[in-house]
Amino acid sequence: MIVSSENMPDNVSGAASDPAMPDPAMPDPAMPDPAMLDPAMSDGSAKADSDADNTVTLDSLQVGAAATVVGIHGSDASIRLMEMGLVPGARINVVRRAPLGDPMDVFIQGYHLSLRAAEAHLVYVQLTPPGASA
Amino acid sequence: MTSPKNRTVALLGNPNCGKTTLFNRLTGLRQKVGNYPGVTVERREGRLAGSTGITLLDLPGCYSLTPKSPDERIARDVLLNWIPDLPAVDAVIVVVDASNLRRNLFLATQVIELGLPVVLVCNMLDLVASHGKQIDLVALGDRLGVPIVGTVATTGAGLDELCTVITRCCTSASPASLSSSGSACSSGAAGFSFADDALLSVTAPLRDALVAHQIVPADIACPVARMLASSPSSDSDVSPDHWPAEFTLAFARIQKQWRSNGEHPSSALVQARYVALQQITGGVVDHEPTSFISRSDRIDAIVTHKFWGMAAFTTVMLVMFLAIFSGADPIMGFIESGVSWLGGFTASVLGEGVLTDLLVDGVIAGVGNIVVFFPQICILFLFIALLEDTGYMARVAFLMDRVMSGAGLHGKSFIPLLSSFACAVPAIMATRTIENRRDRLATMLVAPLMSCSARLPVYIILITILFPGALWLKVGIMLSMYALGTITALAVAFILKRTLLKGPTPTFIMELPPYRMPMPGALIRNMWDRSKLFLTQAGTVILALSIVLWALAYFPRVDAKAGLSPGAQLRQSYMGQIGRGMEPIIEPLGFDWKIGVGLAASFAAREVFVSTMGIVYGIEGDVDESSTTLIDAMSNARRDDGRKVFTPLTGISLMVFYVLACQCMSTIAVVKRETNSWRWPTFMFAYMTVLAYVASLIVYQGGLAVGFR
Ligand SMILES: Nc1nc2c(ncn2[C@@H]2O[C@H](COP(=O)(O)OP(=O)(O)O)[C@@H](O)[C@H]2O)c(=O)[nH]1
Repeated sequence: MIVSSENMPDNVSGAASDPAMPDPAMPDPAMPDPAMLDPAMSDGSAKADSDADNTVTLDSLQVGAAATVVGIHGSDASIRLMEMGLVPGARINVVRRAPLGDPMDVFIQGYHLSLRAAEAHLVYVQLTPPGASA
Repeated sequence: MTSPKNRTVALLGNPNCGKTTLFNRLTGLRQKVGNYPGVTVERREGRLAGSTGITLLDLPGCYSLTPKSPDERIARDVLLNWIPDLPAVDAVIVVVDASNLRRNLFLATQVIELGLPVVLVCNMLDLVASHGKQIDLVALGDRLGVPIVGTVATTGAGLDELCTVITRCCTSASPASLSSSGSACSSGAAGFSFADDALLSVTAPLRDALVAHQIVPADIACPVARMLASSPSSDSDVSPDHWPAEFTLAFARIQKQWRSNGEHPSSALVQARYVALQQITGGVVDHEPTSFISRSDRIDAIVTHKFWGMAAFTTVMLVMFLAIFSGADPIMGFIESGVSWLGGFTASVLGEGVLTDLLVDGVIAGVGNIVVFFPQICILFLFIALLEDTGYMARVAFLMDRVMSGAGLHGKSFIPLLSSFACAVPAIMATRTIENRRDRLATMLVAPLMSCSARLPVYIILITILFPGALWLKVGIMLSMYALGTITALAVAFILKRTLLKGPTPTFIMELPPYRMPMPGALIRNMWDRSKLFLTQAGTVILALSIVLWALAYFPRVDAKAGLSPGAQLRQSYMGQIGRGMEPIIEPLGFDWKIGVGLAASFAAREVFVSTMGIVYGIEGDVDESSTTLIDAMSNARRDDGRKVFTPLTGISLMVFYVLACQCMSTIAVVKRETNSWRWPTFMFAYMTVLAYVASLIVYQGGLAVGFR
């Protein structure tokens, strides 16, 4: 699996082996409860690569990146994000960013959604390696 | 008789699913547009064409029944029959965009769970076909357990079948049958199960309270409780007004659980619903939409491009303003002459008298002052409809969100604020698309600070009098006035969002719908509905206030035989007394009582300042005999001590006052209407007046201090 390192934000440890169980010592206070990342919750069609750790937040992805949603950090916006289709297992593509850098345009569940970096930061995704079929 | 009587069928769907087009097709021109009680959410209803007693109620577009905005709350409250004075709905037509089935069905399954008779409409089948796909409607209907009809709302295909299905549904269902099919706690009507023990236990108190207070029938208490559990409980915008006490407790518990483990108890439900939808749609659509390289996307590559996107955006906005200002010009001239003709005609028919003066100078002239702006308002609404129906409006919000969020506002605040350069009234009406109440209020409250077209004549006459010659100076001052208004608006919004309208950070989770070719008929209709709203609703307040203002300038009458000139009459009228009473207050700003009269009269509409000045100065003894025009009269006007009234400093001070003051009864009327209380319009009037006064004071006194006169 190819993981481009520029897609990895500093605050995500590359050492944890299981994407479903992020390192509990991780300093980022915004990490979701591990239960959120339970693969059993995700839709059966999503084949999470359990041997790769590339869980990052959506806002850190570059334009053109493809990923799979693994969890949403609980907050005021989380239910709406999920209702709009950002549920674990859903595939997501970063289509573009607005000319001024924020918000971003993502492709999810067959439609385009725009959200601010602040909201994208609540969404945990796992990078789909380039070349993997959507 | 074949058709059932007095049935209400609600029409529900995601935004952009084609619901409005469908509604217009189904009801034809027989529609009623109004508001829901207590809120300014648009309520449209119409008779189903070809039926005798089926009323269609068009609900606001929404993504889910757990509301995030007053609009979405209305949709839920109507379905649950929580709105007083509104009949219970007998059936629900859920419209889904077939080209984006799964997310659209999310809402549909929520409605199906409530046990109301549902007819599912699969719209936009033409788009699906154009992508070379097909939808197995029969299988989908079977899996969801509801009748399903495929349509193309733009061409009308499938609508006959839909009418038949609706009529059949209304005939068989007993009235007000909230939950005739009933959905038990563990399984929905459609047979998919969301049994989640954690969620069940946490929502149990809510369910019990719902049943105990008979808020909903017992058999749907469970899904309703689950739905409520994911609503932001603290937000009074989206929760019913009078929750029983148990609700508050139950909500507090849910919130606590959520805070403690970082996961909202409802997230499992949302997730389970999507998993179920995956199964329901599996094999129904012959393949999933996977490619985002569509025609729409190719347009977006240009339209949201760093350079071309901004260039296109600027062009669109310029064209819009050119159309508003130059396109409306001839019609405005036509209306003006029409109004004066009507005035003259009325006067000649009625002869002299108080009644004539009331009709001609009060009613006709007063309403005329506002109606002149009607063409501009229509053109503005036409552009807004065009931007919305093509899908460009969402891109404007996408492009400008960063700029607006700097002032604490939302990308969707951009168009209302920009529209305000034409007129604050349609701008305030256009804020309805902003879901968050605080963002919407902030936008409304600052919109009147943008220099509208009624200020233009005031700026022009003052600049002409005070700065003859130098074109660059004139243009510079004019632009400074526009800049002052804009900067102040953003600054005030910034402050409001941190003080009075403080709240949780609003979200910007917005669909970017595909670009679509708008239908001219729909555009015209959309424009006309909103423009009419302006005429009928704001119009009544404007009429009343016009009469009041007329009376203030007309009474008390002195003996008519004395042959008082209009100026002398105005001087001793209540309005003149107000002007003179104001003099000590406005003196520090550099204004005399005549300007005070102009300010008071401007409340009808700012451009009235010019004509009032005409009346006031028409009688001045110290005006040079040879000066016949108003400009000459004003530039030569002197104070008692012989100083000129209109010095450049007074002029700037006066213009600054006009930039910032809320001298527009239409704006106040429309804010009252949109917020449903006098609180916000009062606040707006107060803060703007104080702002204007202080700013003018600083300009004038500061100017004096540094040696200007
Ligand atoms: N191709 C196609 N376009 C449609 C169909 N129904 C509606 N539209 C278009 O979709 C856009 C949104 O429709 P509208 O009725 O305003 O959607 P609403 O937001 O759900 O009320 C408009 O431009 C319509 O012309 C359809 O069946 N096929």
